[in-house]
Amino acid sequence: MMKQLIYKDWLLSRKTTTIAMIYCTLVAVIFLLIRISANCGNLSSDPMFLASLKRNMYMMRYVPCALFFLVLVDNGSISKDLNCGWTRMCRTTAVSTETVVASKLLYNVIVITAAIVPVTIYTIALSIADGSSITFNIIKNIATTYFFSLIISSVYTLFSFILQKQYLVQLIILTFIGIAGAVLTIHLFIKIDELSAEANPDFDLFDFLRTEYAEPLSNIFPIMIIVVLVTFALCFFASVKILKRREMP
Amino acid sequence: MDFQNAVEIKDLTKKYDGFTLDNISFNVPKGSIMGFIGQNGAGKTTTIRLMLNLIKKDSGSIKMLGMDNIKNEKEVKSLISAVFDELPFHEVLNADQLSVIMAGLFDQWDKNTYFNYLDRFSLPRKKQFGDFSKGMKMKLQIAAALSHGARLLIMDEATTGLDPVVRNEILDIFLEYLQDENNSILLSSHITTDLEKIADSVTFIDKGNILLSGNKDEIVESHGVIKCTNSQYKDIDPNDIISARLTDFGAEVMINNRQKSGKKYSGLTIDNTTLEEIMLFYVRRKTKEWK
Repeated sequence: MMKQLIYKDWLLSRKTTTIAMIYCTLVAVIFLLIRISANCGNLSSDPMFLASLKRNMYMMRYVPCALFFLVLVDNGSISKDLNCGWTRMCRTTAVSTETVVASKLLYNVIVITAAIVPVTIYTIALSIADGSSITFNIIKNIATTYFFSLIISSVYTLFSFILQKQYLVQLIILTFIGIAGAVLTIHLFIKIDELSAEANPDFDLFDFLRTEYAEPLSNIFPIMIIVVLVTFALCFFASVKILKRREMP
Repeated sequence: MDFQNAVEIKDLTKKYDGFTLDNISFNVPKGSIMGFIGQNGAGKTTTIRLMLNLIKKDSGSIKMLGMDNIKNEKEVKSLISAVFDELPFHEVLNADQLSVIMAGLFDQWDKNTYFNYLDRFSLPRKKQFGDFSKGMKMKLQIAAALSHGARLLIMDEATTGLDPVVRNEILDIFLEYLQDENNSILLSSHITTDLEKIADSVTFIDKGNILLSGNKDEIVESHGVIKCTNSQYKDIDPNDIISARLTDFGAEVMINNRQKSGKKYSGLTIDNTTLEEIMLFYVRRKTKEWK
């Protein structure tokens, strides 16, 4: 049962998901080529460029990771199902509400897992191009990104069942990300100000970002697994309850 | 399957702000097709939604195929098919893909039957549903509904908005489906001509109340229309009148006990009537006289 429901969701979102994946891969490849060129191509003769690039390594590593959240953006199959009458039709069959909700969550897991593969390959390739070893930290960073995406996707699923409208869900998620970004930026400015006050000549913004945010986040990696599982369970039961209680028009 | 009625509804009530489905009861005999008629907003769709447990009832009981529709929801739903006026499938899908998906929803899904119906209805397999006409969409729904061994078909305004050719084609399929005496159909519609053609029984609902329910031929035969002058109309006992349409030339009076009225008003001619006329006169029963 679940297999066919996932197949249906894939048919609905395959075009946009594929485009998002291609986009992420392209950006990753471009970043990688710049890095290789900086190491052994024409750009390597430009010391200023290389220095700037090294400073931006952190960004280069994470921009494609962030982009792969794009795969979530079009995942509005829940509102599509509700609007076209599919969910109502499912309710007239022997398919349980639990199966419907579980198929949605599982579909997200599959898409995100598929999306993390090119990101992992890119990150490892970038590390090799950079001449650094593939550290446990890199793997932890990728895993943290993966788990974070799973949390967002399950919350996205829950909100989709609550609100029914895809654009509302996207608005809420983007608002949430916007607020989180604003808080981080304010925090960053305060910190930079403190450091500047100390007149630290070796201050490196991206080193700072890594030590201040990324590493602590990676260090809570085991907790993330628990958070993911708890979020999934909560979103699953809440979605089932909402869907069961909802009267179908 | 040991039950007499495919559907048994007893004292069913559902209250909304401004509308109440008020204690309704009716049966759909097994092996028959029942027309569920009433004007828009009469309560047909609400009743069907309650049967399918899409909305929660306030009180009453619903038995389908001999089982309680809530206690045995899974068993009931594996043996029924519901068809609505709108296609519930995504417009980017095609008929081939739908077969794979439906096989996951129904244990008894028979893709050969499904593809046979597609061929019969001349429905393309690779064309996206978004490019289907309304008639094609309805045929597709019916093909899907009849391809998993359903014993009860529930149609909610399914033939509304279709041209007469397509409607006839669909009605023929229904009659074929009823060749198996274990199969039954509840056909909700306000197109009474369709029901006149194929229904064995009818239930007439108005403003949340059941006004008539029973054998279609008996209902039609027991009613009649007296066409008379205004002075003749005044001589008719108001208790015999359902309602009367007054025109410049006289009156058309709907009566409900044709045999008795025939003897009582021997000087007047009682014409045969139709389900549509019965519906029309019953809806105005409270005002009694209308133009």
